[in-house]
Amino acid sequence: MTVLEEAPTSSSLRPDQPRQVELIHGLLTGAVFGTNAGMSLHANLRQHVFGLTTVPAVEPRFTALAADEVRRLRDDICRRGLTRQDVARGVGVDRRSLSGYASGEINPHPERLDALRILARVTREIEVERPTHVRDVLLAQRGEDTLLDAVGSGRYAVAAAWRTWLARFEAQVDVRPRAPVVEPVWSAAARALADGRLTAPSRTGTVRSADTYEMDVTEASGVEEDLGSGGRRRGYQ
Amino acid sequence: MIPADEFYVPANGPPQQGDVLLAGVARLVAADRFTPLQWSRLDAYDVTVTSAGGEHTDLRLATGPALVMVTSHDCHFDKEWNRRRAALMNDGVPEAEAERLAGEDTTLDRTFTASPLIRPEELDVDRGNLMAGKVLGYLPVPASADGLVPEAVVDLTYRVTLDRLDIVRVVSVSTPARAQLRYALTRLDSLRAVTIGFEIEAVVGRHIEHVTFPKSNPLLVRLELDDGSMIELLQQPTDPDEGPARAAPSGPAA
Repeated sequence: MTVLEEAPTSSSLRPDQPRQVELIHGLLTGAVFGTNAGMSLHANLRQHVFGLTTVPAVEPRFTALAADEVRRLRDDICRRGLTRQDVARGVGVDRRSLSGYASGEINPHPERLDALRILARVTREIEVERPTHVRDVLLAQRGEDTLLDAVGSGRYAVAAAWRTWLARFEAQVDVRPRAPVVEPVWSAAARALADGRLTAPSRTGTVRSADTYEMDVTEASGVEEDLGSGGRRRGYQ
Repeated sequence: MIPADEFYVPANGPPQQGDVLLAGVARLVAADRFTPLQWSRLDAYDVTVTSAGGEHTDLRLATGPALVMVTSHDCHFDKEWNRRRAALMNDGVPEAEAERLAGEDTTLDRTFTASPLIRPEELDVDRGNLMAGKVLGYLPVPASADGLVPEAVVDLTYRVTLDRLDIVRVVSVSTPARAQLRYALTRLDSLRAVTIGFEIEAVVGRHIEHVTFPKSNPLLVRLELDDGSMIELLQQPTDPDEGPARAAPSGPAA
């Protein structure tokens, strides 16, 4: 274990910005490689003990805090229809890095954590206005761009104004009802549905043998078409 | 036509071929929105989707709510469920657990096909022949006693793809009614001669005791005669004659 202390130049940084930390023995190590989301909560790094520089130079407790938040946000986003691969893309990292953030093996850079928070907020907003279409909206291709990539590349203003961004490019749909001239065939059934007298069929599966779904197209040779010599083809009566 | 009390049965259990559902229909139409007369009552809405940035040509749909009859075979509804269940069991998962996991798998196909019910008077064909089930492409259905299904014909020439989680069932049909549907589908889709069995008894001078359809070849009909001999009939599908060339409608597009 090696005791670290804060480098003098870091005092001018904002609390949420990366800080350099220096080994007491003079060996400089960059917290930037491990990022500092957890470190920002602490004013004095002298009190803390760090492991070797081959692991993120932050206290495990704060890595765990970040991991908790990453997991919570990631799962919240995935519940709205995005895959973990989508989330990683929206954060601007690969899926392995996202898994590392979530497991606490890697401490996320503040920018990546910000991207995740913004992605979570945007997905919540889209879910409210376009339920079940969150992924469609985020991945809708507009030229070479998508909203998901806008978040992943740090263009948060685009993401925040997603309605405007989407409206400029969205396809237009025109719907014109036709006035019914007679009572539709389905009208009685629609009334029954409104009265709660109709239900959806059961979703239970029925076990069937595998050969139910098998065929052998070579058997088609036994039913080759025979047009005959006459002008009339068989098959029509 | 089969009488209503023999045509319909109470609806319960999983979806089946022949079920009458309250759902919807949709189809893509040309720029002039040509609609066969008999389908005009199905088209409650005209929808046009204009692409963003001209990425594709406009999509024009005619759509509306409808009563439809399921045309997919019963086993279609469970095809992927059975495949998933079998795969899980092959991996050592107990049967009950495999069925539960397969039931919870949201990636399994839920789609099936159906055809809409239309009023007989909307078709320009002899009503007697139509309701007797003699017009290819249409299956007559009687009015149900509860009034939810009017006297109609299933237009088998209009097929839509639906999601089993997006339907409600109005009524199911009996085995004889389902057999008529399958017959009508066969006549329409494969155009096989089906009168080959006529007067065979008179021709061969024997009585037909049993008729079987070997599972290995559904186009084979095996007739067992009263003297123990057997006749095998093999139906041969054929195609319709080449029709007149289809041309785009004249005049400006709508």
